[in-house]
Order: sequence, then C-alpha cells, then structure tokens
Amino acid sequence: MPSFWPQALAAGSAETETLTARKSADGYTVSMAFVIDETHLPAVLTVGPMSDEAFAQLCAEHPDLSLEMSAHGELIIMPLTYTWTGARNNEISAQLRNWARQDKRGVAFDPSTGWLLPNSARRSPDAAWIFKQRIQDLDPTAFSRFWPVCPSFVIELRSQTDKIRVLREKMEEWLANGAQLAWLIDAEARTVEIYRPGHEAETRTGASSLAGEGPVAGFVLDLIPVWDPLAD
Amino acid sequence: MPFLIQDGQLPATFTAGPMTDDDFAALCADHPDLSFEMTAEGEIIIMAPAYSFTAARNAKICAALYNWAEKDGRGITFDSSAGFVLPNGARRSPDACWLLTSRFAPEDRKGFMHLCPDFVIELRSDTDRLNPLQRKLQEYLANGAQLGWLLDPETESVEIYRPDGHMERIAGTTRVEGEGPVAGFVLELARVWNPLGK
Repeated sequence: MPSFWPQALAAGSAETETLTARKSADGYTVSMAFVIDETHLPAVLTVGPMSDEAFAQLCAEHPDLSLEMSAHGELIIMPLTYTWTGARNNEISAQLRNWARQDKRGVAFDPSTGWLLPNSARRSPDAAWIFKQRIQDLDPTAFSRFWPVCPSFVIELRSQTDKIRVLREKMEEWLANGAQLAWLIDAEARTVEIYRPGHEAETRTGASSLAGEGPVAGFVLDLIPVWDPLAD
Repeated sequence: MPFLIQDGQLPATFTAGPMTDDDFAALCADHPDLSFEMTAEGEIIIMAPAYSFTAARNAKICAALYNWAEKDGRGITFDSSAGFVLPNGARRSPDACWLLTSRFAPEDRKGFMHLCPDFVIELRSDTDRLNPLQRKLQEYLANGAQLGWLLDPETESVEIYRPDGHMERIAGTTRVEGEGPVAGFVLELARVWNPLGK
C-alpha cells in the first residue's frame, strides 16, 4: 500500500471491505468501489442528473463537506474550509450583508447557500447578492427549494485547496448564467480579478479596498481585514 | 468524513500529492479493474473499463497502427494499457500511440517511460466529454508529440493536432492519413466507426 493512500482504503477497512467484497461467480473479487478521505479532496464524481431532493439528501448525509454539481452532471466534493479562509470569508459576507441592509435593493447570502443555475449546475458561491425583484419574480413553489436563478453579484474567495484554473472557469460560468458582476479574491496573493459581462477579467493587486459597480454600485469592500483578519 | 465512490460514478478525480512511479504502479495494481491517470496538477483520474464496443474500435486502431509500424520498421506501437510520464509530470495512457525506437533508453525496459510518444490517438467513448479529451490532445502536443488524432465515432470525425498549435477537424470522413512522424500510415475509419463491418 503506497504511503499516500488513506487508511480507509487499506485492505481490511470495514467500510471498504463490505463495499468491495462482491464476489463474482468465479470467486474473483470485484473492487471498483473507492473510499476517499478529506485529504484527497477536492474530488469530482460523474453522477448524471439528480433531483433537488436527491442532491439535498446527499448534502445532508455529508454535513462536513461542501458539494456542488456542474452543468455536465459532475459532483464536486470540497473539503471543509481551512480556518483562516473562514475568517476572511466571514469578513466579506458581513461587509456585503451590512451594505445590502442599508442599500435595501437586494439581499446578501452566505457561502452555505445553494443555487440552481440556468445551465443546471448547482453552485454555492462564497458570497452572493441578488436584486429583491428577482426573488419576487420566482415561482412561489420554488421558494423553499434551491432557487432556479443566478445571483446578480458573486464573490469567490480562493482557498488553499482551490485551483485557480477551476475558479476562473467558475467565474466565466457565473457570467454566462446571468451574473452582472463577479469578483475572484485571492487573499494570499492579495489579488482581485473583476469579471464583467462581455469583458476580459481585470486584475488588481495589492488594493486596500474595492468599489462595487453595476448591480452593487455603492458597495465598497474593505480589503484590509480580508488580507489580514488580525488587522485592527 | 470518508466519501464512497461507486463504479457507476466514474470517471472520478481526486486530489493526491506528488507520487513516485512505484506508488502509482501500486495504486494501479491494487485496482486491476480500473484504469488511472494523473494530471500535471496532481489529480488522479479513475476510469471504469471501456464499454465493449469502444474496446473493439480501439483494437481495430491498435491493429492498424501495429501492422503499419511493423512494415515501417522505425518505431513501436503501444496499446491503451501503456502508461507514460510526460515532461509536465502528468501520467497518461493514450488509447494508441507510436514512438521512434531510437528514443528508447536501456532503463526504459522497466517502469514507465518518462517521455511523450511521437504520435498519439485518443478514441472518444460514449462517456467521454469532448472538452477534456481536446485538452488532453493539446497536452500531448505541448509535451512533445509530433501528431495527435482525436477520433469521435459519434460524429464520425477526426481532429488532427499538429505541433504548430493548430487543430484541423474533418467531419464525416472514412479515412485519415498520417503525416510527420507517421507519414505513410493510413487509418481506414469505416472499420473504426463500425467494428462489425468487414
């Protein structure tokens, strides 16, 4: 067994054993089931279309993981956020929420929120904001489920386990599905990428604040506590 | 927090750290029913066995390439079970490939060869998405392949990847001609599109 391999995969692990010990007629053990642990996340599985209920059920069975689904029917399994990233994310969520309450035109959402995009992906951005009117336009039967709508404004915060290529594809997906503005924040690099419909992404490095525009004109994100949550 | 991946959920990818060739070979040996690749970014891709019809198509391709290579004499053909470690660190197994014999080093007789084959063919299966396959072909070319073909039985089309970075797509064709390293090789595609034909 190679040293990198998670304990759960070692022969004899109870869970693996029951799932893989399916003997075929000639006694050969079929071992196509895998158990991966948190050190091997993110992981992507091909699962095909799922109902909202099936997806919500899967999320409920794995409360420690964050799950998304791509438009191609891939299930994306993400690990718990590292602690430092959580402090940064909370700072972003709080600033957006405080501004949204004063501005009154829209509502802010935290990173646990699931959205059903027009391309059928189920995504969960690190922070999001949407016009109240777009919520009021929703079919009331969709209200208690994943909303089938794309937020007007999205923020993604890069964590240590996020690949920048994957995040950039996600940002393009937000715009393609109707977001009017999206920010990709890389706190380690102190860099922000600004995504606007129909334009190349604009990169800013080392800024101490970032001004909203379009749907969130008037919002100003103070980046100092995002770069360093210990800052006074 | 363990998460179960079942065979109906493949292909799947998970994140692994750097691995030695021996580690990777041990992983493959532990799961003889599955095939594995590793991206340059350290993701391991777990693939289910090919559907039978796809494998029949692949056998036609490998046989045609083998027959040509034997006559040609300059190189050697590999089937889809061969693993290569590309210069960018990715571990890949093309569906069929060909390599100049002169590129063999004595130490290559054991273990994975650390190079990119000169000519690579990928065959799209029913479960393959086109985008990842196209990226794979681009990766082979970026890592030194002189020619790459992506065969798509669904549309009966061929995408030809050349080292200048350009891709040429020929739809609805029944043959494709080799060039560059495999000039002279001709693949009759009617037998690939329909392995049941004569």
